[in-house]
Amino acid sequence: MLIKLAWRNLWRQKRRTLLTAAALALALILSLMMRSIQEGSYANNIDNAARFATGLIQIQHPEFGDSHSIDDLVPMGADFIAPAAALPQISHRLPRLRSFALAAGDNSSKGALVMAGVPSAEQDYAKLTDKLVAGEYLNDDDDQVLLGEGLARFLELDVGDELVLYGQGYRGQTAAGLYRIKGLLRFPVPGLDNQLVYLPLPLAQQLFSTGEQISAWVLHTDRLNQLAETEAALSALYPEQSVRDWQDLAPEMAQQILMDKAGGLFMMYLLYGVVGFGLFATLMMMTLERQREFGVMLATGMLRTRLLLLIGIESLFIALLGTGIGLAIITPVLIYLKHNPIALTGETAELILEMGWDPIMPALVEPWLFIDQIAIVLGLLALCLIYPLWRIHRITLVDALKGGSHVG
Amino acid sequence: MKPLLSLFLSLALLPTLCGAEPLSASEIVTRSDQQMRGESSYTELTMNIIRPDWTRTMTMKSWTKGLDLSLVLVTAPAKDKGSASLKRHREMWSWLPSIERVIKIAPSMLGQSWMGSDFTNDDLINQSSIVVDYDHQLVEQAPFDGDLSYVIDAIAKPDAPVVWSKVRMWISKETFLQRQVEFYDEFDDLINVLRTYDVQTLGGRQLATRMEMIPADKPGHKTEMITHAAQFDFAIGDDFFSQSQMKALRD
Repeated sequence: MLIKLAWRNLWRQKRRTLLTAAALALALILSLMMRSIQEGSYANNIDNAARFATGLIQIQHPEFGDSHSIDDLVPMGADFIAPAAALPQISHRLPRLRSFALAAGDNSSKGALVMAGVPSAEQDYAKLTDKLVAGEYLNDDDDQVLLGEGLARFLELDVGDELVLYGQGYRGQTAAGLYRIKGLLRFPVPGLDNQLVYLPLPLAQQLFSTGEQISAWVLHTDRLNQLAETEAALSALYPEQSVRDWQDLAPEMAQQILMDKAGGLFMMYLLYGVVGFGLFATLMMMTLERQREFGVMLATGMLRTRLLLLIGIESLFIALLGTGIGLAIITPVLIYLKHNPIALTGETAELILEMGWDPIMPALVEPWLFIDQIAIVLGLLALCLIYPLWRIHRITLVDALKGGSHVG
Repeated sequence: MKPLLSLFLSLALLPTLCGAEPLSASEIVTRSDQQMRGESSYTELTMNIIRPDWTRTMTMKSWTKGLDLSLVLVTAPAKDKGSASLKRHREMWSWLPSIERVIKIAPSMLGQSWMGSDFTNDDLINQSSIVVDYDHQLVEQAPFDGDLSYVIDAIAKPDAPVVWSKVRMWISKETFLQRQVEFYDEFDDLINVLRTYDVQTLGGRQLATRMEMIPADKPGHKTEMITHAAQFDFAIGDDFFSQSQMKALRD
């Protein structure tokens, strides 16, 4: 009965209803758009940028974090990693070795970051082939190496030339090797581009005399929001080792995201404020201009509580309508943006590249994001309803019948 | 490599000089330093790299001439045998027999560990002079290892191209050998301690034949250098300290 009445009331004043619903829809569209692109960029950056440099989670020797020493290694054997591999949420596990060495060409030399992994697995995970700008990608048992483009330029080397690596191997042994360059890699981050030498893992283990040991097992889980629990599970499985997530491994990126997020949150509260007042004005008007109608209903014997319920139901309908419209408009847009991310160009892009991020802004389409924003918008609606409802509750019958207390 | 040797040489003492009148701090340092300016030297060494859970031993031969030229040849273990480091003036090269290549050590690598030890390349090649680049101040006289020593603070002169902003030395009153050296960084934090023991006469000079480099912040880490044989002040040409000689040397 009340529901039917509420429904009819809505459509008695189509324009008012649609206006309120549109205000809600707009709030939802704007906030979802903003959050989704924000979170999408973070996820993209964490996923892409972190994949090569650090991965999401690493199992390391407890000393490695401080020392970065070739002496602090973990076993590479299958039985070591088996417990982690058994966790269902672990989608990738990659053995990696990293150290420093002197890289030398014919005429010059430079300190280099030596990274090694299993090329076939890394191709799938870190998408190293995308960074290849010359030559070919490595095979797992290659005795050739890949070189950062900047480093190659500094050493005056090109594909097919020979590169010397010289440094310190496991426990003070001399590490020296002569390798042919199979390809060049280009990274947006100058730190990698000017420093990186990439080796197939067996070759690096031979160079550094590490035997069947590696610097870290890099683990990946598909969903970022499972990270914390995965990390906890791993810490329990490997009490002897140190389990570190990307925020620990790449604190600069974590801080940048945190800062950016704070700025984004501020903008969002501003947005909610503006939209909230719009919504409040609409709702207020809706109750004030209907004082006479409410007066009549009360006079004909309607209970005040029932009246409030009626308004509540009407508002709920409007809310459903508003979110419905909002979702219908924004969802296709977001899905489009997810697959066709906004690419930044010009100076902005360069600025972002310098920070080591990808200059694209893909949208994140995740249920939790939608639910969050819908809940916030509905919360706003509820907040805006409090005052109008209170007004109706203490409405004076006589005044209302005259057209409202504000009239004469 | 040379300064390493120069350190050795600096330790090599001229005991004769103990005059009656008191010496100023700078005179003490200068006299101690003169000992490392030997015309030439040849030494046979064992280096022990000591870590909490492993130890590594290398043996080597070393030649120096003046302060600017030095050559070190690794003679054991087998894997590294034949490797050599050459220093000429401010430049440094390594010869790697396993890949038959000579590598010039980039300036950026000078801070790296030398052969995995607690000495850096820079420790071996560093040109800064304890006499020229520092101001000296006699702090006290104190015994070290039973050897009464001058304790002298050397403070880096402003703008001097040095790694350590302060060096505190224990220089033996009797032998003028450096018995202990503490290296401080610009925050006045102790980074490394060098200690010398077992003063003996080798090759006609007194020499501290055992030397330890101990990093201050790494418990259980140290590098020991033991001198087995030494010769001094023999004739050797500059062309001995060349890349071709470095490749040609065999134990």
